[in-house]
Amino acid sequence: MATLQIDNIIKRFGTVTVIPELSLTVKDREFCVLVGPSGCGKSTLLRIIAGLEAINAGRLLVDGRDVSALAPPERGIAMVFQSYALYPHMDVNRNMGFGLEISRTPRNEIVSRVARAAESLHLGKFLRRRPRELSGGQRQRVAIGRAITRKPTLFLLDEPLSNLDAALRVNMRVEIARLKEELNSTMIYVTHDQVEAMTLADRIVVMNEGRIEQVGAPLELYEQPGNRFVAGFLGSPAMNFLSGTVAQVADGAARVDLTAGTSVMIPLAGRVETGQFVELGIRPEHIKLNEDDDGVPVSGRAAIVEMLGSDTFVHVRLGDETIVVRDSHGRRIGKGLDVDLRLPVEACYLFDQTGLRVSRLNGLAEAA
Amino acid sequence: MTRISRSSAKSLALHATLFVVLGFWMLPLVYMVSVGLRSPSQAFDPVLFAWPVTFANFITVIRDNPLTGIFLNSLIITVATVITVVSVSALFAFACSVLRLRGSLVIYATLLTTLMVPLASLVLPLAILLKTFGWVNTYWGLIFPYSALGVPFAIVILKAFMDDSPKELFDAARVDGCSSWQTFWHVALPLVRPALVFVAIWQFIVTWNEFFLALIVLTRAEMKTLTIVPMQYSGLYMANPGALFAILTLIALPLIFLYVLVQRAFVRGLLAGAVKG
Repeated sequence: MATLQIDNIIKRFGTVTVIPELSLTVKDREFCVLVGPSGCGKSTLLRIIAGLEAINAGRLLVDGRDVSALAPPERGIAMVFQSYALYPHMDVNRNMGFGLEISRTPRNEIVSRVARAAESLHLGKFLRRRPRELSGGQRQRVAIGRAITRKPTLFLLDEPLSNLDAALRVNMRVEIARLKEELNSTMIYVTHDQVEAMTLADRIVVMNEGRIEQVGAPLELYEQPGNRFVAGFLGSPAMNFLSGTVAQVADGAARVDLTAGTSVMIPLAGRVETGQFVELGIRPEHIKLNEDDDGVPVSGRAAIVEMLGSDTFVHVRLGDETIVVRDSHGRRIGKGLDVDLRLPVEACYLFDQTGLRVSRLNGLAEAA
Repeated sequence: MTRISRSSAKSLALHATLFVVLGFWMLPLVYMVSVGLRSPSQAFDPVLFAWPVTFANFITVIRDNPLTGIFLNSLIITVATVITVVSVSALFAFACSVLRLRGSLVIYATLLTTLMVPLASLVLPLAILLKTFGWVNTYWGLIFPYSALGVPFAIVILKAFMDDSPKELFDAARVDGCSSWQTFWHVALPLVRPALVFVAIWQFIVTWNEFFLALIVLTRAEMKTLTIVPMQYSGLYMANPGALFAILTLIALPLIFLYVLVQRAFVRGLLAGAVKG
């Protein structure tokens, strides 16, 4: 249990600045998830917190204590690595107790802590096995067990589920959610998988090119993205973007002429000017397909149809652009057929050419 | 032909070829043992095996030479060299590959160039150097030069292994609280064990068989190593091929036993080093 304060840190590798200047506070007992595309600096940030990378400027405070210059073990952290990083020549028992062995913890204390962690992670039967004799899921549990035995103040998890197959990943996600409740510790979790981020996080930090794009609760980010990057990154399938031009600005709203051939009135929160290039964002699940409903009508052709059983994803061509529609009614939509779409205005977002959201919170977010 | 019989025929042909190659390869060794077991009159008979077999040559070389002392000299020099080479090269490879100490790569590149210097060109300067230090006719006079000559090759092998090891393991060790020394001892060394075995055996063989430098540095009879002994059975005006080959057989025996003992690890180390990309 600890509060982590990252204070204006800068990280450079040679002449390349991977984290320009970043500040973040992770509250006590919070499960904070860092998400972002590959190379956005999230793993580097985690390694900085762990003490595996030195910083070029700024400070790291754990419970108010400056730990920037301290070695990893002195920071009171434990880390679960993407590749598990289990020592191949040690059995499960020694892997889990190695950190304690190094810190000269009494033998009986090591035995009892390892036994407790093994019991909690259902690893009791495997204590004498080497890592190569374990399945991927079991290895992952050993890696988590190794972190638990050290009773850290801060847990760091670097894409811990990315090496597991899809089914196992779901199981381990549930397992981590259970551990989160059980351990009640401060945890920082890095992933590029937004499902993990949305389901596990108390708070999500969306990163891009070493900068924080937005911080907030999962649904808050999903429903109130501050910019086009966050809007496009969270959600699967991703949010659709339709290009357009501002035709008129009046009474706190903008009329946008879409390239797809229709106009839409969007209530504004930011500044746009007539003639300015903008993008209209709308999530696949909010678009109505072949329904007589309120909303801006657009017509297109079903180019690709992906039937998943519970949902059908229809990729609709609108002139030069393609948008994805999620249909949960189990209807069979033929590929190549003409379809009518409705875009509910209250579900639309508007982004200016810098990517900033300029529309007011949509109706869905306000209702939430 | 069924698939199974086709594959067993293939395997038979492969094994037969390998046995023929092995037969050719083993000829000098078999001939060495065979000549050692012949009487002087049969020594130059152009046959692989001559009858009757006699152990007289082995008795001669054992009686003529204080073999226990000579064997001990060889063993002390070889074991000390192996320990020095393995320790120094493992530590250097760790510093270079894991700790990435400043300047270590420059030293590594410099050491590599020494692999290209032939021993013959080093003998004269080495002899002068050893005489200056007073190390002629001492164990150190061979242990230090052998170690210096063995370390670069060992570093190449061990560094390749450490470069290949998952870096996250070393990070995990740091998070677990290991110092550099503890990371080296508890994580790096066990990870490169096959390479350590390979380097140790290789260095053992090279040092045990070394003749040229030993001949120059060791002039006193009680300091001689095994490889110098055969010289006395082959001279300009005399030759005792039976005794010569008997002592050569005795010299080769420890190496053969050692190789049989650790053959698996040796081959594993050899292959893993070879496929490093």
